[in-house]
Amino acid sequence: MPLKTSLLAVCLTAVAIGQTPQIESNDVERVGAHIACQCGGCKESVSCPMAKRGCGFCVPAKARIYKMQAAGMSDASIIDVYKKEFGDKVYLADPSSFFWLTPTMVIVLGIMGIFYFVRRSQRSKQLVPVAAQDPSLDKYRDEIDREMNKW
Amino acid sequence: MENLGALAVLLAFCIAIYAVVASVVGKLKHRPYLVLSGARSVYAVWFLVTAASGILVYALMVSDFRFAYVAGHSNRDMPTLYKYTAWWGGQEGSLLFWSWILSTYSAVVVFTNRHKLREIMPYVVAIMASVQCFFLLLNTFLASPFQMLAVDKVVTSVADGLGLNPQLQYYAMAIHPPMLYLGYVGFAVPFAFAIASLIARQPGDTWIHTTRRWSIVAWLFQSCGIMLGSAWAFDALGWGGYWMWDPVENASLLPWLAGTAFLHSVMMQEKKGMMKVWNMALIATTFFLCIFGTFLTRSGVVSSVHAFAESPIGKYFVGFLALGIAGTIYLILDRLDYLKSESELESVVSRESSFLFNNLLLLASCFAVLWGTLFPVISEAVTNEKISLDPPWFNRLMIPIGLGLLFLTGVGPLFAWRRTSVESLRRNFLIPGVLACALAIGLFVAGIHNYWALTSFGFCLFVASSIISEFFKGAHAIGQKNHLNFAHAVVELTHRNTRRYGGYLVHMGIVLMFVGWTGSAFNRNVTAEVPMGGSFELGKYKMTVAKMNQGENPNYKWDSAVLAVTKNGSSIGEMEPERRYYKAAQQGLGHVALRNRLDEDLYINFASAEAGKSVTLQAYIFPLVSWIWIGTLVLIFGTLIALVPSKVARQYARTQVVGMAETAVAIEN
Repeated sequence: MPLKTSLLAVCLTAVAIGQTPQIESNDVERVGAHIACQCGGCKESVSCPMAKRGCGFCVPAKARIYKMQAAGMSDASIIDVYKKEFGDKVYLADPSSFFWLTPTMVIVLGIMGIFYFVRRSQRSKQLVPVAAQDPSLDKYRDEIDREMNKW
Repeated sequence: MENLGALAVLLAFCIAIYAVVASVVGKLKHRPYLVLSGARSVYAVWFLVTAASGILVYALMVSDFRFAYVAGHSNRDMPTLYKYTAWWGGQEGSLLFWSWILSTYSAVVVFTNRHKLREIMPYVVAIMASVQCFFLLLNTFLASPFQMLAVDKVVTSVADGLGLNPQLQYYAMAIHPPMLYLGYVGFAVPFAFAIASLIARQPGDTWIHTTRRWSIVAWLFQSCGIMLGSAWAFDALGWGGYWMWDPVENASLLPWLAGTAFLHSVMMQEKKGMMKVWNMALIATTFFLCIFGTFLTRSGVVSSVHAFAESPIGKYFVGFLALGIAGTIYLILDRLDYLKSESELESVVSRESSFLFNNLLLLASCFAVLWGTLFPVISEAVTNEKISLDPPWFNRLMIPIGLGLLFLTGVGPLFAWRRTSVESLRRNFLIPGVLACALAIGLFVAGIHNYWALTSFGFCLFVASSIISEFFKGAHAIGQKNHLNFAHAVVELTHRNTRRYGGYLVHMGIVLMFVGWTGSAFNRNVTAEVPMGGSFELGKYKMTVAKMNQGENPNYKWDSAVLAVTKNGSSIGEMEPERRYYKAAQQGLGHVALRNRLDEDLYINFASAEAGKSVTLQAYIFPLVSWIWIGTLVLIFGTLIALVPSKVARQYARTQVVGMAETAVAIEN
């Protein structure tokens, strides 16, 4: 009897380990990122750091997403299940292309600005007359030299 | 005692106002005694804020639960260290802590400059006292730490407090907030000097020379604060990461990025008399981002696991920011004539241009972080649709910018001032370039096919080899001339120009940190529910649950699992992740088990347990993560070197003034 019990325990353990839910998989994270946490204490998705620390909404949600994925449901249909249950407020969209465009434009404009700045500097340097060659300034230069010699 | 504390804060607020008025009126009306009394008021403010802080800390230490703040952020069974750190663990206390640091900085600034800079010091005092007024205003009228628990206007007490947030009961959290605040508040000093020099129409280099060390020290504190926060997240939070692009993390990064741009850009003004308007704008941006970061943390505008509770003080921060930014813009525009550049850029391929590109990328990353932080709020306001902006989105935006910055870190020092010849480029880039390409190809052949990682490792070697060659060439020359061995020559070289070679060491620290960050491309993890005696695997590691423990102390209860760990079949010892349940806060918190090695960290978090039958464990492998912390130490060491006075005094002759001399070459290059 103890032998049978032990064998059963070993088999059950093996099955349990084999069925350990991989709720931290990238697939779960991908869908979870579009589900807003409904715990009331945060405004995060189910991929928020709290999810790994026992959040009352996020942890069950991740296990549920995993199960729905295991049952062959698509990302959109999983999100639809949550929308039906909690309303549209539960859905978090991906950021629009505006999110990418703005910082990229800042960098492009900045690079253009630097090139403009350098070219303008080079141009102004060519146009400015060299003061040292202006003879009308000689008397002032002599005056400065005399004053400086006193010291 | 509580009345004394509140009175001290109120008096400090009134005296800070007096310091502003006395300094400005004294300066404008040429009344030196009034100016002096304004400066002395700064000491009085420091004394009063210190007294108020002392009273709050005493109340925390003796668990005086008549104080609402003490009852909300401490409890009897908390260790003494955490009772002390509760000073900055809540909204009201942290604002008082901020005020105390600012008053200390102000007192030190006034004391060290008491016989100097008479033209601008009254304005410096006025600006610092104005910032002080704002924070004391909050502490006096909106977020007083001296509010008492009362029933029907009768002061009462509770048996025990709620305790400090368990997440904050961690040794790094005893140091992280003070470091961050020392950085945030520290940037008020160069800002005050910059604005004072504008008001006094003296926007030359005086303010920069005077505040150079202040800026570096503030930057160092902020760097330490950010990295301690990162280490805390890694060690204490149990979610297996050190950076989550959380709004509060971002809030600390924003002024650091702007401050880093300022520290680079300021060299252009010192050496070439250029970028004066830009430097004014940068230091103002850095300071206002510090205030903005504080606003983000406390206003409830964005959500964060780190944020303080939502409070009404946000609108006061907005008012203060609007007023400060408007005043700064007005002053800069009004004083443009005093901020003219003394020389011009000659070539895109020059040290000057590399500084410009460096500034561009640092500010672009600053903008990208700010944009990413606020985008969910803006997007929801415009489209009425909530969006998901998780770390992968940030990473996709920030990785290219970060790599660009890393590349410039190596390229910049290889360029000459004014212009760089093709021959010089070829000579300087050949060896680092070849080494970087060889490494990238070697890693690709070895099976690493992540292109970002390959680029990053290649750039890391490029920058490291360029820095090493700078040390080598300089030390070799000095060693030959003075007959010194190589090690002695390196020390001599560094001592001769601590700022330059300290800066190189900081760059080396950044390179090492990039090595660690790049390792995250190869992170692996597994979550498993394991029964007693059961095991699970991750990569080369196998973890077997050998024992489960339970225990209790006055502060918390705990469950732990003793794991026998093997690597490639050989035992590497035991690890014991733990889960604590803090009684006062009624909150659970994982306490991870960590095995640090240079090649990779094994990290195990105890997620949950089922009545002694099984445990849910999360195991992670973080390759190269230790290099982040090693890089931080190198960065700190390099910054400290840069703070040491150079053996040879540096003088920066301006290389060129438009239309005047053609070649007045810098003494030091």
